Amino acid sequence: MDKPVIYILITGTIILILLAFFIVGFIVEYRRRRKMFLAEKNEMQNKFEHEQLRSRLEIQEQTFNHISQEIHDNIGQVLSLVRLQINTLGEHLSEEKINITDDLLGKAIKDLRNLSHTLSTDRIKELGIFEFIKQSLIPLEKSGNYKIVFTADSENFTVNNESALIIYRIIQEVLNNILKHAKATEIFINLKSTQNKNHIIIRDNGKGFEKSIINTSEGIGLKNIMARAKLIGATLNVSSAQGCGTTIEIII
Amino acid sequence: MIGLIKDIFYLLIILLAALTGFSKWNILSKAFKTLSVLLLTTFLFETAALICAYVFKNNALVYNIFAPVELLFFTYIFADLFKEKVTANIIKAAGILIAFFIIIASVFVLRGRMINTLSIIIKSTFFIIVSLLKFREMLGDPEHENIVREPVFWLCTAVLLFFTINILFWSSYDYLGQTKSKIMGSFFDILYYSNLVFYTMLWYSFVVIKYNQRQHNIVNG
Repeated sequence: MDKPVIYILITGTIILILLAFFIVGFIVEYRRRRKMFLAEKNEMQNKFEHEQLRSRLEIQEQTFNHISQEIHDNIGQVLSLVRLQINTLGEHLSEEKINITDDLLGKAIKDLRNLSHTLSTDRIKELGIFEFIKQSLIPLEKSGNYKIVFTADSENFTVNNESALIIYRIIQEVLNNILKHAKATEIFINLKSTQNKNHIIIRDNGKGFEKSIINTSEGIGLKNIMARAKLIGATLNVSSAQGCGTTIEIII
Repeated sequence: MIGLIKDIFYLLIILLAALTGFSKWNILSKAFKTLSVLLLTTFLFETAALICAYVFKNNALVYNIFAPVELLFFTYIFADLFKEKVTANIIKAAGILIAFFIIIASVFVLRGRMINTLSIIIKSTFFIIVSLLKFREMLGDPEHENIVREPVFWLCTAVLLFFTINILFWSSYDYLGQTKSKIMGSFFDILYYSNLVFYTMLWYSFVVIKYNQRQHNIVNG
């Protein structure tokens, strides 16, 4: 056989052997990456479950604080008044006093009923995310310091209960940030759905901040929000500048 | 006689691959439906080429027509397999451009009477690159539990091996054809067996398609 033919055969053989190595190498590398991919997925799942648990505990803690405050400030006061009314009744039963006592007892019963609803751990499931958010905004609005506008596209905005809990915690964290740092007077919350994606937009008219703050210790709250958003496969857009308020958009 | 038996066996393998594809039609993705149609088209062209070879002693015209058809089919198949739309569009544009070049070269330069080796080499290089890109994409997203049971893996492997051998063969074809015609027979045997391996792999890519993959296809559109 001539040299050129031998060269062609040798080159061809080498290339085919290299291809065989490539295919085997690909399978090995694919399996290695698959293992890593599964490990990462498991880790994400664990993180998600951990975060869910943490959110539940945080909500539970807030609920207990709320109950304690309600008992101390409201029901306790009402019952004390009832006691006072009964003590001052004496021998002459005044109809007016009985009516007042009756009203006060009715109020105490109503407050207790409301409290028992608050105790339910699956309240978010019962009420749905919109109502749950709405109710959590009431105390903020009642404070008189903020004008709150909450709008929601309840027809198209749908999330599962697990994600709803995390979304609620994200909104709460953003609101905490606004209360602590923003010095805002107006807060707008909008839950909408476009092109198969859910959008949660929270905007305030506060003092805003420089984006560079996100990477410093002051930006821990925002980092928490980002970490939570990542767990439900959401992305976070933050737009803010000094004196121009802040808009946070979570896209799921 | 042995040559005819070999040719018929080769045609049967292509037909088997096409029929296996059609038998699973309802559960196939768009790309593999197209591959089934391509295999049937290949069967028809190869049959025509065989008849031309025996009757007219020249089947270059059939292959000159088949080359752009095959190219466009494979371009569509690969463009559909890529998840990244940009890559898919680039593949489509490049495929159409190369098909245009092949038609021009075959019709106006070679007049359809000779095998267009340059076009085959360009086409093969294109598909080697495309299959390597698909391998790269698969590595980046290791979603499948067992890659060896995935039809896309077998399709890419078949394309990579077949078109590499094609390049090796057709790049030395002119030289060997002119100077070493005696050993051309052995080289054609290599090409014949590489064709057999190619269509067997494509057949196997249909075999590994599981019925539960239907759901996957529906989910991924």
